[in-house]
Amino acid sequence: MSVLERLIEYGESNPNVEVEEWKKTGNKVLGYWCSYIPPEIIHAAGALPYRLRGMGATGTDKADHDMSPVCNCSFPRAVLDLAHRGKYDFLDGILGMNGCDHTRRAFELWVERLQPTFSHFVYVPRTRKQVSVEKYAQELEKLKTGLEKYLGTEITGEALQQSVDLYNDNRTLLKQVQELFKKDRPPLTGTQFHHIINASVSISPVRLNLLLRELLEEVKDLDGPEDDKARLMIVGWVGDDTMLHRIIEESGGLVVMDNCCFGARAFWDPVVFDSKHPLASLGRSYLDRTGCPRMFATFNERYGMFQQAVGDYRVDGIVRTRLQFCDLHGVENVFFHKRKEQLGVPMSAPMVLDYIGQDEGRVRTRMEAFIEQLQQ
Amino acid sequence: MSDYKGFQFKTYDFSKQLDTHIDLIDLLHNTIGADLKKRPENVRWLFEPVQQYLDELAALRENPDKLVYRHFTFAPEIVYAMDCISYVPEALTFMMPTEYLCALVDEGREMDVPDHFCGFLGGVTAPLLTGRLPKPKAILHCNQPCDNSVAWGSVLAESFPDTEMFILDNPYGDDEEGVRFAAEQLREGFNYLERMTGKRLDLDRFREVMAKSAEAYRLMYEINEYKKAIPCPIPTSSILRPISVAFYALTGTEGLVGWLEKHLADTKERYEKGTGGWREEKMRVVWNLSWPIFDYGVYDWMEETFGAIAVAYHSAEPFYQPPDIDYGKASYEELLRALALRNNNHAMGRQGRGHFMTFVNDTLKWCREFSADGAIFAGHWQCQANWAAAQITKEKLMEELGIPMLIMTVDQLDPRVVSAEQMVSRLEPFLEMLAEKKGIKP
Ligand code: SF4
Ligand code: SF4
Repeated sequence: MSVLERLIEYGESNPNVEVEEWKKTGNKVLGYWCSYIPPEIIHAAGALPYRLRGMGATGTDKADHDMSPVCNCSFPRAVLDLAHRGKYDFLDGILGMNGCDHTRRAFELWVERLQPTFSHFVYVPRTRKQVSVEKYAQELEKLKTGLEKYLGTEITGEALQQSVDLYNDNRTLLKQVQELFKKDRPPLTGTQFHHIINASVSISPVRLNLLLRELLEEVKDLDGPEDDKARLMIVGWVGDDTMLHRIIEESGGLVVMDNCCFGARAFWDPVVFDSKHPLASLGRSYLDRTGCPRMFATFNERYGMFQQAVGDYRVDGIVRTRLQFCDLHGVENVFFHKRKEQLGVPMSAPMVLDYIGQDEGRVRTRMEAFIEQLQQ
Repeated sequence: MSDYKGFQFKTYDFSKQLDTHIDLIDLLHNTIGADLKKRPENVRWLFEPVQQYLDELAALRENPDKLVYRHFTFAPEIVYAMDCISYVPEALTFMMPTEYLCALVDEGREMDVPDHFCGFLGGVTAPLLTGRLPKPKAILHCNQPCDNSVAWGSVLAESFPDTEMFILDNPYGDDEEGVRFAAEQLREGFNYLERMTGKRLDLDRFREVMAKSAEAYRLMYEINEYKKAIPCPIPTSSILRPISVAFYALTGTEGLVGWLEKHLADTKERYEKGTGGWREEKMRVVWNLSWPIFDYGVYDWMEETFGAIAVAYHSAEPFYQPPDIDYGKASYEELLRALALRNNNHAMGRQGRGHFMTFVNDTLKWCREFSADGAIFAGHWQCQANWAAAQITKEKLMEELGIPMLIMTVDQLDPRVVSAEQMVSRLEPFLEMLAEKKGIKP
C-alpha cells in the first residue's frame, strides 16, 4: 500500500488502524469536537486527540430523538448517532465546546444520555478582547487540570512545547501538500487531499509527520493528468464527508483550495508558543489565527485568504456551500454575493447540503452545470 | 379572517407588492398607533411600553448622536446609563405588520440570506445591508442567545465597516466566574461607549438607572406572585408584546417603573375581586419559548375552546434577581456586577447560551410555581439550541412534576411556515388530553 493509499484509508475510516494500534499500547484516546480545543494539550497529556467525525453514519435517527432534523445541523447529528450506536466506544472520553449551537448541544446530550467515563467542556470566547483571551487561557488551564487528574499525569512545559512543535510540523507539511495545488497539474486530487486532512486529525501527530514527509517525497516531482479541469475553491462546507469533492472531480472539476473546517483553515496558521506563558500563548494563537465564522466579525480575514487563493491557485470558480441549518457559514453566502464582481471569478449559487442522506443527483446536476458554465 | 371550526384567525394578502423602502419607524408608529386607537380606552395603558419605545426611537431623529445599536439581549441599562438611546433592529421586526415583515424576509432571501436564519434578524438584513437603516454612533452586540445572533454580528460588521463594535462574550456558566467575566467586559463596554459617543459616564446616573431596573424587577416578581392565584388575575397573552418590549428595551427607565406600578395595582384589584382573564380558567399551561406574534388569536382560541390559560411565557419572564445593595451609594464595581447579573440572566439569553439544563430548570420552575397542568414548547424552528433541549425538558417535566409537554414547530413571525390554523390543529389533541385528565369538558 502506498503512503497515499494509507493516508486515504485513515481518512476514510472512523476509527482507523492507527487508533487501534495506539489503544494496544494502553494509552487513551480522547474525542474532541472542534479545532478550537487545542489537540496539543491532549497530546501532551499522553492521550491521542481524535477529532469527532460523522464519517460512517448511515442515518441520524438515534440522535434525532433529542436533536431535531427540522432545524439541527446533520453533521453533529451524524456524530451523535454514531455515539449512540456504540461506534465511538473506543473513546476514553470526550471534550466539547461552544463551537456552534448544534455541536454544543450534541456534546451536552452525549454526556447526558451516554455518560462517558470522562467529559470536559471548554468555553471558547468569540472575540479577541484581552479579557476574553485571558478567560480562554483560564479555560485551557482547567482543561489541563482536568486531563491531568483523569489521566493521572502531569502536563509539563516541555511536553507541551514538544506537542506544539509536532503539530506545527503537521501544519507546515500539510501546507506544503496544499501548495502542490498551485501547479498546473497537481499530483493529487482535491478529494485525496481532503481524505488526508481527515486523516490528519485522527492519527498521532508523530505518525502524521512521517507519513506526510514520505508522501511529499513520493509525489513532489509527479504531475497529474493533463485534463483541462476547472480549478475550484469550496467555501462553507464543514464536515469530513468527501462527497462534494468527489462529485466535483467526477464532473470535470478539480478542487484546488477550500476554506472549510476540515480544510485549509485547520492548518493555515502555526501556533506561536511562549514557554514562559504556555497556555496563554497557546490560547492567544488559537484565537488570533484566521478565524472561522464562529468568531465574531471575521469574514474579512477569510475573505483576504480567498482573494489571495484565487490568484495563487488560479481559481476558475468558487463553489459556495453551506450545511442546512448552519447560520454561521450560511450568512456568509450573502457577503460573497455582495463581492461577486470584486472577486472577479464566477461563483455558484449557494449549494445547500446535508451531511448524509444527500440527494447526490441534485448536487451532481448543479455541479455539472456550474463547471460546464466555467468551461464555456 | 380564516376559519378553524368556527373560530376566526387573521388572513394575509401576500400578493400585494409592498414598498419596503419606507421609513420603518413611521410604519410602526402608524400601524401600532392605529391598532391602539381600536382598543377600548380602559386597556390602552397596557400598551404604554410599546408607545414609550417607539417615542424613544422617534426622538433619535432629533438626537442622532445618541444612537446606539444594541442586541436585544444586551441589557439596555448600559445605554440609558450613558444617556443614549438604543436602537434594536430586531425590535422593528418584532413590532412590524406581518406582510411587511414577510416582504423584507423575502428581500433578504434574494440576497442569499438562508431560510433558517431567524426572521427577527433576517427581516432587517436587507434594509441594513442596503444602507436603509440609520448609522449608529456605537454598536453593542453579544453572543447570546444563539448562532443567529453571532451571524448577525457579521451582518452588522458588514453594514457598518467603519464603526467599531463592542461585543460581549457571554459566559457559558451561571456561576460567579461568569458574572466576573461579564462585569470585566462591561467595564470595557463603558470605556468603548465613552470613546464612541464622546460622552462621560455619570456614576449617579448609572446608580439611578440600576435602581430603576431593580425596582422594575421587584414589581414584576410581585405581579407574578398574584399570577399564582386561580383564576389567574392577568389576561396574560394580551400583555405579551408590551411585557417583552418592557423587559427587552426599557429596564432602567422611570416610564417602565410607572407602568409596572399601574400593572401591579390592576393585578391586585383583579385578584381581590377574584377576576380572572377575559374568559373562564379551566386549566393552565406554561408556554415555552416562542409565540405566534403574527396572530395572538391562537391564545383566544385556547381560552375560548378549552379555558386553557397560559400563565407564564418562558421568554418573557423575569430571571434577574437584582442584588440587595444601596443603589444610591453603590460603587462602580457593585453596579457593574449588578449589570453583569442582569445581562447573564436576560430572558432567552440565559437559556440559549448555556447548558441545556438552564432551559430545563427554567421550565420546571415556572410550571412548578404556577401549578401548570401542561407545558407547550412552541419551538421557533430557527432557535436551534433550544430545540435541542426540548425532548429532555419534556422528559424531566414528566419525571419531576408528572406533567406532559407538547413539542411543536412554529415560526414566530412568518405564518407562511406554520399558520395559526396549523398551530391549533397541533394544540387541540394536546389540550383535549389535558381536559380529559382534569375531568373537564371543553
Ligand atoms: S456546519 Fe455549521 S451548524 Fe453544522 S456543525 Fe458546523 S458550524 Fe455547526
Ligand atoms: S434565540 Fe431564536 S428567536 Fe432569538 S434570535 Fe435566536 S433564533 Fe431568533
